[in-house]
Amino acid sequence: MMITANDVKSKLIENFNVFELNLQEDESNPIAEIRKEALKKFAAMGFPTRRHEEWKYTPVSKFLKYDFEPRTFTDHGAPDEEDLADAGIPGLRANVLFFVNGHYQAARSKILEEDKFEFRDIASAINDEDPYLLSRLNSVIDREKDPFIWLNQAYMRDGAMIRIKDHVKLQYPIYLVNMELPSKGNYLDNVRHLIRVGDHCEASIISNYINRSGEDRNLGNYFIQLEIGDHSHVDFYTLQYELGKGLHIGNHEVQVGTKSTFSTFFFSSDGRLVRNVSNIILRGEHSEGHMYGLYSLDGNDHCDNRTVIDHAVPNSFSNELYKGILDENSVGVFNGKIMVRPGAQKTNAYQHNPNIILSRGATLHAKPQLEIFADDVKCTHGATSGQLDEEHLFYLRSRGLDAANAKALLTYAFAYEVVEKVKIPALREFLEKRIQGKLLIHD
Amino acid sequence: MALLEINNLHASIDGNEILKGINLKVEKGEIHAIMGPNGSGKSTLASIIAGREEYEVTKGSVLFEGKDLLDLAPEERAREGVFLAFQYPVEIPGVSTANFIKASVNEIRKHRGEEPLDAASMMRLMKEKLALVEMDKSFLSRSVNEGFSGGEKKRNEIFQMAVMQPKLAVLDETDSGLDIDALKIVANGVNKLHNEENAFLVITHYQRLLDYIVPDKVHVLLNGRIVKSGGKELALDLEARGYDWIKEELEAGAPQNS
Ligand SMILES: Nc1ncnc2c1ncn2[C@@H]1O[C@H](COP(=O)(O)OP(=O)(O)OP(=O)(O)O)[C@@H](O)[C@H]1O
Ligand SMILES: [Mg+2]
Repeated sequence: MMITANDVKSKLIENFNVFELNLQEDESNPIAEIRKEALKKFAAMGFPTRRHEEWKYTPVSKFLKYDFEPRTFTDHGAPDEEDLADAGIPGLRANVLFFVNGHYQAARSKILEEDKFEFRDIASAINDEDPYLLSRLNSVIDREKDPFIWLNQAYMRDGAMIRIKDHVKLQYPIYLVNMELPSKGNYLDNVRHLIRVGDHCEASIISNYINRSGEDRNLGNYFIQLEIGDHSHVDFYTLQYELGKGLHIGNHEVQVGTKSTFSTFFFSSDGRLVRNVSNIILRGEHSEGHMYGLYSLDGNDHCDNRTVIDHAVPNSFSNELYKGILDENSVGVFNGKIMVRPGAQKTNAYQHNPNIILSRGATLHAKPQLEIFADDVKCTHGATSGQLDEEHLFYLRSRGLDAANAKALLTYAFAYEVVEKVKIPALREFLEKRIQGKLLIHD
Repeated sequence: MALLEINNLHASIDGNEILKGINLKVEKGEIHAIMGPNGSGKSTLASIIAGREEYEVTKGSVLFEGKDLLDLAPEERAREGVFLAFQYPVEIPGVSTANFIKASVNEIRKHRGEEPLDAASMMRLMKEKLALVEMDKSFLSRSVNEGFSGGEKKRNEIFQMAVMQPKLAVLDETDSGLDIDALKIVANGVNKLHNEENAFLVITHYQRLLDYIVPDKVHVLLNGRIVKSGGKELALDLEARGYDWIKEELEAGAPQNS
């Protein structure tokens, strides 16, 4: 029998009681109420259809073909050597926080700068009724009315809770490994990462998504909340090279304080369905948001990038560069919203989304959205899509490079404009190699 | 056997005939100059030799060392030893000059059955050839032609030619936009590379270049045909008198070769 998104939804709602029983959470724990509220919201919203403006080009129901079930608590999984190799970034020294099937694995984690930040796994924070956790769960913004956020909140079990105190500069990045291992059935992992960066801080965070089963029977539903104080610098890197045909939904909700700079980098190159939502709120004056993305897709990859930059106060700056390379039958979606609130004068916002279409079968949907309610603002946006430049190709071929190699070199050059923005050398080299490998460029 | 032999070449683009029966024979060791008014078809001829695909060859043949050149892809021609110094070299952001040259040299070596050059030899080769055109090695780390001045772009073409050591080099107005010193540098580069085994086809508007690169033959290309050929003194005539007298001669039915 064919399973529809509606069936998936009904089952998730029906089986919530069983899930709760399995959790063995204290009945008096406020989390119980939070979960129930979230489930109600999810039930009311249901999975999005094409009629939802934000999901127009990503008919998510098409991908929900199995009766996805939240994985049981006991299914921790043990990655083998090969699994672990996928998580390695050569030469990267980092504070590693390792999650398998949504569970924190202390044995595989390694915190180098214990004195500089506070880490808790969310499962134990839930048990302790951690007040910070509860306050964050109660202050989800969800500007986009996204049911996956509420699904996450209802079914979340674990994740990272990270707090960086004022005046802390991390020497090494925090490296979140999010690994999903194959298991029987069709599973859903709901993972939450909560990060709070204080004032006058510097930190980089890398979040790597690895789906070792690589099948569209796995749905990873991630929700990351990041709160940044004043006068801080935070870089957040997202890597999606090891998803195979897996399904991935990621929601980022970021709040940026006064005179702080937040940069986000998405490198996506895999996945039957990937949806990356970045919701960035510049809520302090003289704050900056930088958004970089590179989606290089082939096969049947479907990658939907949605960004919302919200200029909530005067004198803030945002810059966005998302680049797409679409080959074979892949589908790329870019939907970038710039929002300038009433009174947010002297806003500068730039958005650029160039795409290269390498094959007739590939499709791009690019849609900028401007919602500007102030008059003294500078705002530009542009999306382009086209083939590689014939003049460039001919020049390279006239020097002896064959057509395939010339194309690869030009495509790499196109991609490199994003890669070069990466500030961590080991990560940059890793990305260079990954992209070259994909394009079959040899030294 | 001639290095390059063009017979009755007709070519059009978008249905417009640009070349209307070109005949040209270049032997090893020779330098030929091609002159002619704007729009007469000089770059078209150069592009067809290099393998640009937009042009449709409707009639005639181009043989390189006796082989059908038109049958080869642009990269195959390059590997066989055909080089075009572009009239307007394109800027290619993001592709480093060094990486590009490296790829190019190794493709050509592979074609000749040679091993790829190791990093040190590659560097030595590039530095030696940069010196020939008096370019700084900082150019190597920049993107191909990106932000290069007009003259630097032209010198970069000659640098690439020097690295690739072609059998036939077509220089399409490499002298345009060069200052006097750069002109001498480029000419000197060509003369150093020139030997009994290779040949040059130099397209230019100015006799001045031919003071430095002395041609064996000068051809006048007019409206898609080579209408007059002569020795290097023909260039002086053209410089002094322009092209009208040739057009008049043609109308009067005078012989086409002096
Ligand atoms: N893509 C094209 N479409 C239409 N006409 C073209 C195209 N390319 C070239 N031509 C025409 O072909 C003719 C020859 O051009 P070509 O560039 O070969 O001239 P040229 O002799 O090199 O001129 P110059 O001295 O100005 O460089 C010109 O009239 C030009 O407009
Ligand atoms: Mg020309």
